[in-house]
Amino acid sequence: MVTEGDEESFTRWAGERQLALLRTAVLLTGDHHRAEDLVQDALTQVAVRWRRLRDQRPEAYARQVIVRANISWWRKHRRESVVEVRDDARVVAASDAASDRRLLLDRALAALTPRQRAVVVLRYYDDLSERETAELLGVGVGTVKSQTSLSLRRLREAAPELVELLEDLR
Amino acid sequence: MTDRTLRDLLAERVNDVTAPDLSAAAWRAGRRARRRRTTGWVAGAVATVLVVSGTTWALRPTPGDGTRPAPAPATTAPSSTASAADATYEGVPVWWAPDQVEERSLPLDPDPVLGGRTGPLALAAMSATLRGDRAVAAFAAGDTVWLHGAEGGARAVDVSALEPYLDGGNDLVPATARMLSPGGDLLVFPQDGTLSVYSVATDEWSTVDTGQAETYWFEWVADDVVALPAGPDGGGGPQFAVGAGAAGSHPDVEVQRPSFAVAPSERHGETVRSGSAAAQAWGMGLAVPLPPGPASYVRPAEFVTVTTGQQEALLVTPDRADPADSRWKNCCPVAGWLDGRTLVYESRQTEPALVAWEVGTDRFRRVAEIVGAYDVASFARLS
Repeated sequence: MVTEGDEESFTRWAGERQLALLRTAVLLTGDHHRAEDLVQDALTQVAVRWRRLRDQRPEAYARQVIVRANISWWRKHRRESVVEVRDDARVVAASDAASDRRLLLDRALAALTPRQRAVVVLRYYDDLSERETAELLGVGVGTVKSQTSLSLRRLREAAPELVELLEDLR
Repeated sequence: MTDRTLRDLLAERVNDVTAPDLSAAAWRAGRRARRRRTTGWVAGAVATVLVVSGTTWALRPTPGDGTRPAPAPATTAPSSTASAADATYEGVPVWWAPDQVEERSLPLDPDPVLGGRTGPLALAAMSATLRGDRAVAAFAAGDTVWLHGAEGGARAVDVSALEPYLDGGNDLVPATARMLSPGGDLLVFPQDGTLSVYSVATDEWSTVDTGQAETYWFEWVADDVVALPAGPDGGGGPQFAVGAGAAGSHPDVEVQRPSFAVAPSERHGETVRSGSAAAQAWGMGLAVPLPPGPASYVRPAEFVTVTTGQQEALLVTPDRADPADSRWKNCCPVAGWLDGRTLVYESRQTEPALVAWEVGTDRFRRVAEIVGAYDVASFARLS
């Protein structure tokens, strides 16, 4: 039996964690609207299983749903979707350092496969360990290591201007 | 500068992202999903179960409030136990498969080969030794392909050394629904200018050079021979032996096409034949009839076209419009035939399963639950 207490504890947890999940989803997808859809679906999945998850790691479960749903989405739509790298004239015109970095980063991330992108985001944004990342993606630790290395190389190749910023990342 | 730089860049990229409060809506959606699950199980509890020749079938469950109409008169009788079709489309009799929730209430009557449970997690829990030298099913999950032995047991094959297949700037996963050979003794993965071949019997890899031919859309023209068409629509191409035999010259694969018009681009999965029977899954391009009832279904629906001899049938696989519990796109590729009149399709949904349909009847059953997340499945001949 689901109680009002369950609803209250879920709503409190979701209210506290949804922004962090959304930011992860935006980095994974590069698309705010799709990121919001992914978070909504992930929170719903957690809500369905709240009594089981609330005392465990609901955020890890939600993050796993987001990452895997994003990879599945990409696999289903890969032949019909074009990765949109926002070439926002306002950003370029503004030409301040933060906007430049944002544009460079978007372009570089768009050069990664969804799984490589997930590895980068989970390791360097969410600060997950290699083992945690491997468990979340359902792959081996060795794969995470190799994908991390490959992803960083691709980031450098896709946006040479980032090299200076990332020069010590080897 | 250290990896702190990348962390800072990523954090800076999203530091102005804000979100509406999604928590209340998520709770409401979760509550609706729980109710639907409960309703599904109740419906399942009253589904009529038949036992025919030792095989447990269920008549397709009727939705909770019983609002599906009485079926229309049958227009064909593909088998001795044929039941009335649910509708017709362009003169072709239509049967409605259980939707994704109803499917979970179907009896689980394990196929002897598949053992009732398959998929990455089920196989990981099985014996690590694959018995015999053939597999009946292969499930790709990340860098591993799980093989389900035709004589039992399982094996994990590491495919991390394979390169993504580059296609117009996209990285395509080299594991495909065609990776397992019809005989179940080979796995084939397209690479740039080569095919990587894994032998189930010897646990060894080999490479077949293919020159300039596009390899991604390879199709089996014999148990150890593939053709390399230029695109997803088939149409033949150079043939290569990937096993011990010679390439020879085999007829091109013939896609099973229905009598009504459907765009080739809607095809997904392979045409699977057994004697004079053939089946092919199609996407969402046609307004095929859907069941009425309490559930709201995604329109248009995906479907499977089936021919048995000269007779034609259409199986619609309804998808409840529920973003939290939906069928996947291209949900129901044909897995194979258990015999000339029993089709098995791979129901890709929240709780995936292999579902058997006695063609031209209302009889459905699950022959295996698929346990664990996977990217794509591939099947050898099931009969």
